Order: sequence, then C-alpha cells, then structure tokens
Amino acid sequence: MFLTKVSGQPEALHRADSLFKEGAFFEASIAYERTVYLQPESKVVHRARYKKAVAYRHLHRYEDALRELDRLPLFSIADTLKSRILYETAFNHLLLDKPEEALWNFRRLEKTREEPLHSSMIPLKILILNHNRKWEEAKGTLLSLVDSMPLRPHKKQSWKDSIKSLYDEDSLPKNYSEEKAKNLSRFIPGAGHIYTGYPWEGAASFLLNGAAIGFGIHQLWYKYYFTAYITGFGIFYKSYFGGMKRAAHLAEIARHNEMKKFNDKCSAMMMRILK
Amino acid sequence: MRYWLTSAFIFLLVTAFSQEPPSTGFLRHLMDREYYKEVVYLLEQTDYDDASLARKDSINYIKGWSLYSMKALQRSAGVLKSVSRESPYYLPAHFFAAYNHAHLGQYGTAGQTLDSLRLENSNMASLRAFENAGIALLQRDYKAFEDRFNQADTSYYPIKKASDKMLDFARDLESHRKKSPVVAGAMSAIVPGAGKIYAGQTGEGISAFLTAGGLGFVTWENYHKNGWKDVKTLLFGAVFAAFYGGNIYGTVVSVEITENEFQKAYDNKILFNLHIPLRNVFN
Repeated sequence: MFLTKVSGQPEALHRADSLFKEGAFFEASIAYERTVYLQPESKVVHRARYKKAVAYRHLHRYEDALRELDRLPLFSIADTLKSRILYETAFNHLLLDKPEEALWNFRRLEKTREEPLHSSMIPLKILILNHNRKWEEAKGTLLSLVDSMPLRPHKKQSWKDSIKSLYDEDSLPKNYSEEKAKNLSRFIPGAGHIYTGYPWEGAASFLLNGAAIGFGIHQLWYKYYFTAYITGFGIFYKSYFGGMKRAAHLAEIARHNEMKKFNDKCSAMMMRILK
Repeated sequence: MRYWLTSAFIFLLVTAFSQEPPSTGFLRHLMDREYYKEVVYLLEQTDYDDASLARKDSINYIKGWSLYSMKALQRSAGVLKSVSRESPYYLPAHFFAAYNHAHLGQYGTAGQTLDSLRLENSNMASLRAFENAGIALLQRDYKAFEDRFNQADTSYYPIKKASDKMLDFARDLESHRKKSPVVAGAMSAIVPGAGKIYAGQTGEGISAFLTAGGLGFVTWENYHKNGWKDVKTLLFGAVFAAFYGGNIYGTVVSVEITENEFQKAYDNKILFNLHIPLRNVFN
C-alpha cells in the first residue's frame, strides 16, 4: 500500500495520519518518513517528523523518538508546533527516566508559549515536577488547574483539599538515600535495610553478621586461630560489605517504588479532575 | 555491495515504468538511513507475484541484504539464494548466502551453496576456493583446507591479505594442543587450583588454592585439637571435602570452557576474514 506513487505530499501525510489514527504506529512511522522523503524541503516535513516521533513513543522507541525530534530546527518552526515538539521531547525524556532533561525541556516549552499552558499539557508538567521533587510548584500547578476548571465551588474546594492532603509532608514519597542506607549498614549491619523498609531482611543481615563475628571472637578466645580468621571473620567480611551494597540497592528500589506509588495516586486524581 | 545495491535500485527504477512501481527511491532513502526493518516490511507488503523474474531478483537481493544487515541470517540466506542465475546479482547474492550459512554453523549448506555456483571467470573461482577453504577451517578439516586453499589464486588482490591471515590461523589451530581435562583434574586433586592455572585461568586457580588451603587449615586445626569425632571437625571437614571435590569437577569443566572460548575466538577471526574479500569484491 506504501509503494504506489503518490503525487503530492498532502496525500502522503494524510495517509500517514490515517494509519496513525488507526493505531498502526509502525506503518504510520514509515508513511511519515515517506512524506519526509517526498518533500524534503517543505515545511510539512517538520510535522511529519514530529508525528513520526509520536508514533515511535507509542511503539516504546523513546530513543528513536528523541532522535527524530532532535532533527527538527526549533528556531524556524512555528510556535504551535514548537510547543508540541518540546512537550514530546520532555515526555520522552521522562519515559526514559531522565527527569532533569524532561524538566529542562518543559521549561523551554513554557518560555516559548506566550499564552498559558493548555490544560492537556499540565498533567505531564506535574509528573515531571513530582519526579524532580518540586512539590510546592507541583501542588501550585495542580491547584491552578482545579481553579481553571468549570467546576462548582464546593467541588473545587473538595479537590483542593484532596490536593493539599496529597502533597502533605507526611504523604510525600520518601527520598531514600543510597549513601545514608550504606552508612547506616556500615555502623549497624542491617540498619540500612530497615531504613529502606525491609525490616526482616535487616534483621537477618544483623543476625548473620553478629553470628559470624561472634563465632570468630569465640574461636579466637579458644585459640582456634585459623577457624576464627577464615570462617568467622571471612564470612563476616563478605556479609558486612555485601550488606552495605545491598542496603544501597534497596534504597534505590524503595525510592523508585515510593515515587511510582505517589505518581499513580497523583495521575488518578488528575484524570478524575480533568474528566 | 554498495555498488551492487545501487545497480539493483537503478534496475528497479527502470522497470518501474512498465509495471505498478514500488517507490524505489524511497526504499533507497530508507536503506541509506539504515531503516532495514522498514525496507523488509515494505517489500513483504508488496505483491510482486506477477513481476518479471529480473524484477523479483532485484527485490530479493535488496530484501536479502536488508535481512543480512538486521542479522536475520537464516532468512537472509533463504532470500538471497532465491536470486536466479540470470540476474546480475546472482554472484553477490549466493556468495553472501553461503557466508550466512557459514556464520550460522551450517557448513555443509554453505559448501553446497558455493559448489553449485556457476562462475564466470578465474577470479570468482579463486574467491570460491578461498571461501571454501575458510569453511573447511571452520570445521577444523586441515586437509580439505589445504586442498581448497591451493585451488585459490592468492595473488588475486581482494583475497591476498585475508589469505595470509587464514594461513596463520590454520597453522595456529593445527599446532594448538588441547589441554587434557584428566590432567587438569589430576593436577587440581594434588594441588587445588593447579589444574585451573594449567587450563589458563590463573586468577581462579590462585583463588581456589587459597580457599581450599584455608578450609584445609581450619579442618586440620579442629582435628588437631579435638580429634575426628568433634562436630566442628566433621563440619569443616565436610565443607573442605565439598569444596575440594567441587574444585576438581570445576577444573575439568573449565578446561572445556577455555577450549571452547579458544575455538570460538578463532571461528570469529576466520569468519571476519571470509567476510573481507566478499566486501572487497562486491562493494
């Protein structure tokens, strides 16, 4: 269906858009590339590349999407499309777990626009701010979103209360530090595990380290030097440093899980507000 | 290969005037940007059952080359081999198909593909002999390697350098003495870790020696102070025995692993040197 001749670019782009609407994203990505090929000098190329990037995002090819977006010369593109490109760039960076780059692109998007952000763009901004732990700004943006919505006063107030409760200091995702977890386990084996929310693993680590060092000292006391050093201290050495590494790894997992849980709650709330 | 691909595209462009045309320029555009998956997809969507044989050959050649670039070697070999003898792409297609089979370890099929080639001149015969020699070397058949290699004119420029290297590989492989798993195991039984050092894994050998030595000392210490019947002596003795036995077994296995790694490294070198002349001749 792609290999027949198409005389003008609008037809090629129209075909690509139809495929995109049908959810045939791979086929759409080829059709957009075809538009680029047919009219390399035309301004329609910018839109085709942008849409190709969106198709790639749907195909979970975020790196490829960013590569397409990077090819677009932002300085010579109309503001409306430029906003979309920056939005898409920020989105793909967030999906690639690069929240700082996502925020930087979103800031560029805000600077580009003369008018306020469209309500459909705000959820992404809030998620990016959450990932960057800019809680006050995220809360303010969400409250402004509620203010801008055509809702009854009591409903607005109810949403605002929910938002304040969501962003209450005790409800925010904990920022588990790998360094702190490691240091805690350095002083008390297992403490880092407990800090990251794995108490049973922490207790097991503490007991293993205690048993190993206890056995080592016991054997040393009774002049079993080889036994003390090789089995007691040898096992302790391995489990002590291994435990520190494990605690740091658990901190990373816990931080990720906390953020995911919080963003899931936040996304659900935004969807209900925008419904 | 680039030259042959360009000519395949030109051919498609010329034949496009007489039939429902695939957008050849667009295929080329995709190939240049390494969108091989997209090229294969587009060609598979196209119904060219009614196309002329020459046109089918061009399409199969482009498709086979795209599959080769995607590392889909089995499919690539199948598609490339469907290029007919009448096609100008017959030789590059079949030589690369044979190479794909060799890469997949299908040496018999690779050899058959090469042997069934209808060749035009002595240079191509030399290239075939060289490729066949490489395939024989991949099978460690030194006699067949020598026979095939002697059939090739190694002064033919595209295979000259690769031939010298191939001879070096053959000498290295022939003179290579496989380490004996039995000797390695026996060495590790006498001195833990020694078999691993013999097999070429010095670091692991030293580590095994220290661990086994440490556990041996612990067992000896407990035996010396408490005798055989003490729980600790039995426990550490069991751990030592398990490690000691495991290390012997591990040494025997590691000889096989080291040998496989050695052979694999040479396979890769041979394949690389089989590929270079093909690129030189058909680019």
